[in-house]
Amino acid sequence: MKLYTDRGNFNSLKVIAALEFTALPYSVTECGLEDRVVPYLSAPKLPVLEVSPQRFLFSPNSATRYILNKKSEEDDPNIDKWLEWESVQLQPYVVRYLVSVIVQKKPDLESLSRIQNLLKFLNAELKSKSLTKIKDCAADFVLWGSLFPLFRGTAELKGWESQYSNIKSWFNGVDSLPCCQTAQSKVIPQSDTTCLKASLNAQPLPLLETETRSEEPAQKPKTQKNKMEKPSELPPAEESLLAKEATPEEIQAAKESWRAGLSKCPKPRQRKHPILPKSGERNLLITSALPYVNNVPHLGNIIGCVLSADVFSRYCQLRNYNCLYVSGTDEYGTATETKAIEEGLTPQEICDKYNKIHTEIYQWFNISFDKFSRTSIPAHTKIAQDIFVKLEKNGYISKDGLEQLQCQQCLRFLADRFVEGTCPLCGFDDARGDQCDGCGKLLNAVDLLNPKCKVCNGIPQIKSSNHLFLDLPKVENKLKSHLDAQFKKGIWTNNAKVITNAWIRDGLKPRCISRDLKWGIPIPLEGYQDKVFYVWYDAPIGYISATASYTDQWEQWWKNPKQVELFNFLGKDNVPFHSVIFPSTLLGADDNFTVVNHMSATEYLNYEDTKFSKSRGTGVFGHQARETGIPADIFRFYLLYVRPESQDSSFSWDDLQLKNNSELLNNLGNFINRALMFVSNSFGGEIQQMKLTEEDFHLLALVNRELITYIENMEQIKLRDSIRNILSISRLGNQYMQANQPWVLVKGSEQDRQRAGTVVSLCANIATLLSVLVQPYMPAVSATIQHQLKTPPDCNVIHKELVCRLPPGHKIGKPSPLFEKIETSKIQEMKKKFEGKPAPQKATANASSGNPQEVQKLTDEVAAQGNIVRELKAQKAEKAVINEEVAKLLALKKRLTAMTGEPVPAGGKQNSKQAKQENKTPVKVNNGKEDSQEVERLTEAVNKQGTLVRDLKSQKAEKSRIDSEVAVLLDLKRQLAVAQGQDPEALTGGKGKKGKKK
Amino acid sequence: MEELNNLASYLGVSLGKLVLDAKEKVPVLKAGNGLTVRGLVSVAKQIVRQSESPELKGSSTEERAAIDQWLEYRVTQVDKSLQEKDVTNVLKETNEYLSHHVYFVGYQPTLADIILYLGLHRIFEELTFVEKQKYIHVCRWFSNMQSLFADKMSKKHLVFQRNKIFSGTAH
Repeated sequence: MKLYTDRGNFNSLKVIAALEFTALPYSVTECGLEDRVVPYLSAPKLPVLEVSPQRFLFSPNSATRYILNKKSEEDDPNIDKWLEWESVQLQPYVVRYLVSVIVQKKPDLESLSRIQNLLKFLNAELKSKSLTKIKDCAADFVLWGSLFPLFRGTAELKGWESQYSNIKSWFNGVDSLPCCQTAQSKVIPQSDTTCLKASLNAQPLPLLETETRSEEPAQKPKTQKNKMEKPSELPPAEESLLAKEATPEEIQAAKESWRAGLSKCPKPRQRKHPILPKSGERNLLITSALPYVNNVPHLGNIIGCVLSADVFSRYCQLRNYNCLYVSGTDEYGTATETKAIEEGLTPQEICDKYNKIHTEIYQWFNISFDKFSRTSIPAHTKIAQDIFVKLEKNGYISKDGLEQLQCQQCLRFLADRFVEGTCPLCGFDDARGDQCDGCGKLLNAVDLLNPKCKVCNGIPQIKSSNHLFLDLPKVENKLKSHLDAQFKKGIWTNNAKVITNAWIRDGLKPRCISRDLKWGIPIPLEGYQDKVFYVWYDAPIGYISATASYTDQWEQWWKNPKQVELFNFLGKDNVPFHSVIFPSTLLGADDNFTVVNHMSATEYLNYEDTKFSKSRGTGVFGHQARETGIPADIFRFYLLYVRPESQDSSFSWDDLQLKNNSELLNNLGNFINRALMFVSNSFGGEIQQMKLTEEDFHLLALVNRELITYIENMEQIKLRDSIRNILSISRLGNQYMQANQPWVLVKGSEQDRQRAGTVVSLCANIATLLSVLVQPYMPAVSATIQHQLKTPPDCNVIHKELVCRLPPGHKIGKPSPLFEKIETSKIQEMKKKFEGKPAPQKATANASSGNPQEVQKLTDEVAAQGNIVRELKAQKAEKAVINEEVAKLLALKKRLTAMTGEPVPAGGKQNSKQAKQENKTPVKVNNGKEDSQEVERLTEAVNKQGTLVRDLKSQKAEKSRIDSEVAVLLDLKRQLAVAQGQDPEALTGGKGKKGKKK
Repeated sequence: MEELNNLASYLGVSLGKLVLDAKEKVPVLKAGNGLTVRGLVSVAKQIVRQSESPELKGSSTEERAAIDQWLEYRVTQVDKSLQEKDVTNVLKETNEYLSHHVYFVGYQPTLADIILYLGLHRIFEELTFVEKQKYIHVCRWFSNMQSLFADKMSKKHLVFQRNKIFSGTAH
């Protein structure tokens, strides 16, 4: 062990005493007063014990105790107590008093009186003559060391021995130990405490508890608010970007491009529909994952695919690439079918309804699809069937009987997503039929352990049915060679590569592409006509059919792999379908299809610190964004600013406010508005002659550097990074204005006035550049800027250098502010509005206490519905009719459980018990009358017990008491359920709905 | 006080009589057998002692000493940092320390982490996103601790950004 200390540090007394006492080997290193030993502490705090190399104990008390514990271990609460007392209460005043006496020579009476009080307390506690039961323990050395300078030498408290007799006898006992004598002689020779002066002066003063503490909270909100609003809080504003160096080459290039003017700069290409690939050009086909039709997309979905693809597509247009952006709604599958039954519509009507909602949302967000299609169009069916026929012909389709789960109660084959159970691979409890959320592996529903029907919680049985499989192992080689090449050439986000590689590494297996459903594409094969395609087989084909509904020459895009580059934008959960299954389908069809070349997969976007949740109402969903009153462009900007590019990120209102107010309002908006106002007010709205100086070219060089990085980032689909380039350019502009102060120049000589004209005209040209660069992100804002600047239409192209777009003499329009400040009150309102219910149980618990009548009403309804069901069953009514009534009953019960707010336990252990109870039910069900009495009795009992529990809860009774009453209530409920002929488990309702699609 | 009660219920310890010394504003626990424990740290340690979570105490003499010193840091530095410069100091020091450590002591959460988490909560509540990014290491630790303890200790969840959202320069 190594002790670092400065000379004459009284806190080393205790440590050295302990070291001497234990006789453990140690060395002392004397430090200078300013030496910092512990790298992470800001003050040169000493003494410090280095326990082992680079492991420090910077608390002398902990060090002392550690040393003693090395010799013989204790864990005595009394020692804790004394050490804490010393460090929190005694030490701050001892140090202050010693400083006042030894350094300032003017005793601090306040500290003295505090010390007197503390000593009084210690004296009283020392009645038993020792601090703890352990002799010569850490507490003894610690207190001895701290009190020593008060009891000896110049700072000695007069008369302490007579005043505190208990302390006296204890202190002298410790003091006379040989180890303490040695420590003294080392730290304070001859008990002359004046030698402590230098160290006292240099060591940081221990902090004091201040009296103002209780008043503190009242002041806090104020200071915080100030912080938020002070622009000086933001680090970017403080840093001078203008001061950065530019190389002579960069400056030379800036000069040349400025002088060359528009001559080298391309003109924007007119987009004429239909857009078709052209040979010798970059032809980009951009797709964004098809949103599933019956979910309203939330902000995370929007940034995940459509918005990201939109930005990229707009950028490509500005670069004059020949590009086409298609997407559409994915409409087939079980989920739609179920939703249709729920809402009492046909699947087609459901799709029409939701497709409209989607379309409106994307319109509001200003997503510029070249075609937003749907998968329920005839062209889609035709193409999907054609591809299948080709696959079949080429031998990539295999047939097999498939073990499938059929629910005995719902009387149908269960789609993967309607089965839940334990994952056979990782043991995760809540695995879905198609994928395990625990380990992320894809599953076959029949492999699930303990499968359960998600609708009725019944246990499904395995039945056999014939199905078609896409023979992935057979395509594997083709797929691998395609992917290997594209991984090298193309732009793939890391997650897309990793997920794809993991899939292929795990080995590809034949994948079933047929389903026993009605709402889907019929399979054009003898013997399978009553089946439809699996939705993930046909969904990506939606890209092709969308193109086909855009132009009848779609094959130029889709059967042209040599000339077309295909970009897929999607969320990471969709990667395998786009990188493995869809490419395999196309490669297997072997018809010269265009197969994915680039893939940009986003991670997840969270809402504040939690997930977006439809059922809880947490987070902003597409249609709600409009209702916030915040412009779509602000949402677009912020979503792209936090785009979950390489890791999950979150949408935070506070942050949105900060970004809007600091970046858009104070930086970008401020620069453009300032420049334009100047041109407008001081120069009559006319762009002036620009005589550029070296300083101006330096600025241009720096702007060009940002511009080039902007392009590089965009080409790599790093949409977030490009925003920073835009903001850096406007920051440069602001600093350039600040440095040149045109508002001063304009009042000066003619020469100064000319200079002012140059500065603001150059700024107006930079504003023009910015209006183009922000266009992919904020199309409406871009249009407003261009309107204010009256920019020529030719400027809408991104060139790698800044050129003069607004020549001298150009008249600009009327400037007005581009952005509005978002106030904190607004943010608070938004936070509250979209916070959702904290958690399902809590929310319902609140509801319950308010509405006893409501509960009663529901309970009655449940009883009535129960009777209907029993009667129908007794009459042997049609199965379908019974099922319908049962469904109603279940829904009612769910509501009732939700309202009473009692968590109903769900768990494996109870299953067997309940199964037994279930066996008894048929007997009871047949005795209609007796049964209904029983039901009534039980219902009443449940109600009574429910009230009791709620009362207890509101009175905040003891937890154990409440628990036992809740247990009684649950038991009653179970009995009631059994009496009503229902599976008691059904009361638990579905587990939290998963927001995932398919 | 509330912290200690929450800690006790989290660890499943039934506390004896816990009161607040009116004059000194120090929690005092009468733990039975004539044992009186004074002070936040001492009571917290006593709670752990009575609990069935010995892993919170540290697994070696050295770890126990390190835990002690960080507990002391809480009551002597964190709790007494009321002025901005002191708060900044605490953030700087912890941030620096945690740039090389996952937890304050050893390789799993200890009482030091819990007590510092509880103590730092009031400071973190006030931080802006800019500051959170500045003290990224201690924020990472805090966010980790909050996922472990916030609900159990009835502490409000604070929001942390997982991306770097501010940058002075683009390069």
